Amino acid sequence: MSTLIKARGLRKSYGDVDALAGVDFDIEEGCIVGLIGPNGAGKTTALKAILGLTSFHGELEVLGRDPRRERKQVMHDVCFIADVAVLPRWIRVHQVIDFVEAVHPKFNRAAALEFLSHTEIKLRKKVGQLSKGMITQLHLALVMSIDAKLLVLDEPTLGLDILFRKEFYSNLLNDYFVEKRTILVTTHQVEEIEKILTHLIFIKNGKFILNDTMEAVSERYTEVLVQPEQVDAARGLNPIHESEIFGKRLFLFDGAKRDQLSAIGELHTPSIADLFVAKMKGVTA
Amino acid sequence: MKAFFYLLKREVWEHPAFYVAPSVVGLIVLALCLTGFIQGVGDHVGYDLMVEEWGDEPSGKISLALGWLMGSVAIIFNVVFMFIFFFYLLDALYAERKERSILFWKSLPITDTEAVLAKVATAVFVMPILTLAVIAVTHIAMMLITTVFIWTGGGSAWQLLWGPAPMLGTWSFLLYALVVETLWYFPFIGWLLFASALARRTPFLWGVLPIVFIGIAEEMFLGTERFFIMIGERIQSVFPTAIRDRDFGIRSMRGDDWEVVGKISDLIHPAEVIKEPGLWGGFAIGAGFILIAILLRRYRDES
Repeated sequence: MSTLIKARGLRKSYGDVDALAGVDFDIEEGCIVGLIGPNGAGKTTALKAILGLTSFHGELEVLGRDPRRERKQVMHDVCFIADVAVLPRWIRVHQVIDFVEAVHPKFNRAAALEFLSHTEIKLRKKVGQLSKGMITQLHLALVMSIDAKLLVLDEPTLGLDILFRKEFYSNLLNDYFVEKRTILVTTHQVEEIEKILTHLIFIKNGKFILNDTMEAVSERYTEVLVQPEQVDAARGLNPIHESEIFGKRLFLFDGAKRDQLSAIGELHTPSIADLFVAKMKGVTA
Repeated sequence: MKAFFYLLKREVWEHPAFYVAPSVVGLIVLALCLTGFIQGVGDHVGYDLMVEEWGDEPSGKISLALGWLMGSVAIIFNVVFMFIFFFYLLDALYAERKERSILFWKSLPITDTEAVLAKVATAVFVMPILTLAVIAVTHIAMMLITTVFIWTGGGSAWQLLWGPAPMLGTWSFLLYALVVETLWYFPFIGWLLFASALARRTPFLWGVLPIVFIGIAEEMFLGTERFFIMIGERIQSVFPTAIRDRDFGIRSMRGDDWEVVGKISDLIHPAEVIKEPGLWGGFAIGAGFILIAILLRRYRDES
């Protein structure tokens, strides 16, 4: 495995606000990385830095190149879908296929047409005449037909109904994700990507407050459903988050011993959403 | 090469006005032409001119008259051309930001320089070529209408029209004139692209108001109008630059006699236009603005 993205002290501020407060990270080849954070936490800034769309301080290498100075070369091996609205509305489906084929040496026209043949999308239609879901399918068809090393998805399923969202990720996983391909995705619908991620990053106020493999995350964090009489004992074990569910107390522990925890209640692996809430809010009663 | 060609093609896809607007002009010209002939046949005016008066004229003279006629039709097209040219450039780097498709274009391996230069090349070359194509089709359609008309008058369409009509010469000249025009207006191309790249909204105001303000400020504080005069002269001087004084037209002889001197293609003289310092000054100014437009497109953070 080789390192696809390497960031050291990556920093970017807008006025007084640090969108990225000096983060270090590596993204390895063959991973599906979820970058999760509240609005304004710096997710999009991080992606834009990787794509060479914004200036920044610090060191950043994407495929061994500086995305600011060598954007064109980087974009030979990096694809991105920013959100559903970005395909130009006036372009026809066959035109956009011709265009991408002409400008992208790694585009496979046959693959795009094959993908589109399984959809309702007609080649004569203009993008503006397609539904939101179809526009995403079209964009995905284009992107999946490019033999790129890194795919960056920024809220790719925003505004889509649940059928399109499910299909989007199943297409991505079944048809696109093969060894040596890497996906970096941000979304608010964390439950949808929970099962496909190999790595998880939480970002808050421009800092990465969690950056680990999914395996390590599930080993490290434990959710315990505690009976009322055990609550004080649970609090004594330094939970990172506490909440109430159906009259019972739910505690989240970071790195606590499992045998210790099983004594006070029922153990679960926390969902990303629960972990996210816990990490964002910290201990709340 | 193929990529750049498709960058140009993409501009035409986005802006069908490049050929639709001149086609509308062409249809209007043809409608006028047809009405003129139908009325002419009625009272024998137009047909007398073509069939009876021109019937015995030497073909060089007919050729000259037809050349002027074909050229003057093109003037109407040029008005529309300038209009489309102006609004295309104002829109070129603005629309993609407004509809956010810029993020799609930027997801492809195309540099900002290539993207902006494709828009410059569209204004300088693609628009003139498409306009000329529509003008040529209009000319041919006019000639077909005229042919029917000549036949009804019993004349020879070949002798009166298709033989002497200087089609290739006129079309070459018109394409040359349109390209000289776009090159002469290079500072405006640069300025309008810059305004288009800069504007957060209403690129039209960005394109027009600063020029008006500079002119008015100069009048108010210096009492002179050099800036307006300079802009006005630049706009007007394109025709003398492109055409110059040439021995083309009619020379009077003794009595009523006259003879034809030169042909329309003699008006094409790119070698002299290239020597014009004003052209190079314009390139320098235009290139400066284009460079800023490229940097704006490259480095502006589209949030």
